[in-house]
Amino acid sequence: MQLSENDLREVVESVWSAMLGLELVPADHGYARDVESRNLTGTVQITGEWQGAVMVDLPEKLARDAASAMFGMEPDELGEDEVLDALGEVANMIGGNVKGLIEGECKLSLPTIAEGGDFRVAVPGSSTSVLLVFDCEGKPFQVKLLVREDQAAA
Amino acid sequence: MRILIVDDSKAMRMIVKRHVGQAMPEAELVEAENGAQALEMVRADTPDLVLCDWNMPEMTGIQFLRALREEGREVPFGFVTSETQPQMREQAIAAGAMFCLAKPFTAEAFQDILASIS
Repeated sequence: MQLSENDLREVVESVWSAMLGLELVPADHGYARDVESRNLTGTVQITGEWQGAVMVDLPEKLARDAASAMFGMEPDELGEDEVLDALGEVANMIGGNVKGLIEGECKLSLPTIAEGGDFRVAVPGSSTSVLLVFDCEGKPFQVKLLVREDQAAA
Repeated sequence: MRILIVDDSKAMRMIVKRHVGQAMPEAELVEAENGAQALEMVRADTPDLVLCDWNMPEMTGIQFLRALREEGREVPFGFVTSETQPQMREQAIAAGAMFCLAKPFTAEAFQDILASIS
């Protein structure tokens, strides 16, 4: 089963608007990390009859804005744990809603977060099925849906 | 009214607390990070309502709900979860949940759920 760009876009937009109260617009450019700054990637995996993963790549500044919206605190008042927790929950909400669009028995993992300047997060045996880039208050981010290659054509 | 909010995400507990606080400013809010911690809290002092996430370490929300019912504890229980598959909702209702509110939710949806049970 293939999820469309529109399916994923609607999920991301609803998380951003309902939970974060932040505006986003589809970007007309790719996502390139500023490797001189800190960046974060939140990932959840879906296993079962359908297997894949959702990854949210964003600069730390935007993760801090999202956490600020969720905690109702100023960005510079937030600790490290709060920023990671908020991104994990954003990934969890997107992953959970993606899972809701899939037929069959599946399980959603707990979120994991990677961080650094220049890094790559891979799920071996998977390839990118949908890639969306957005701008949120001038800060770009991307959301990727990965699908296990042995079922990508199913 | 005493409400137990169970979620491994502190950010989500903050959001749920904010919404409950707006709808029920008089409610006393207590928190747990997972089902196991929440089960101990209910055993010690039963709340009037449990609002619970599904996916959590230690003990998931559905395991927590089943443990409560196996012990004969009929505390009103609702899920606030990103799990939106119909079969998950069926499992939740079969185990004794009153409702499943899907994340992300709007403030209106949250108020409607609380109004329907109060």
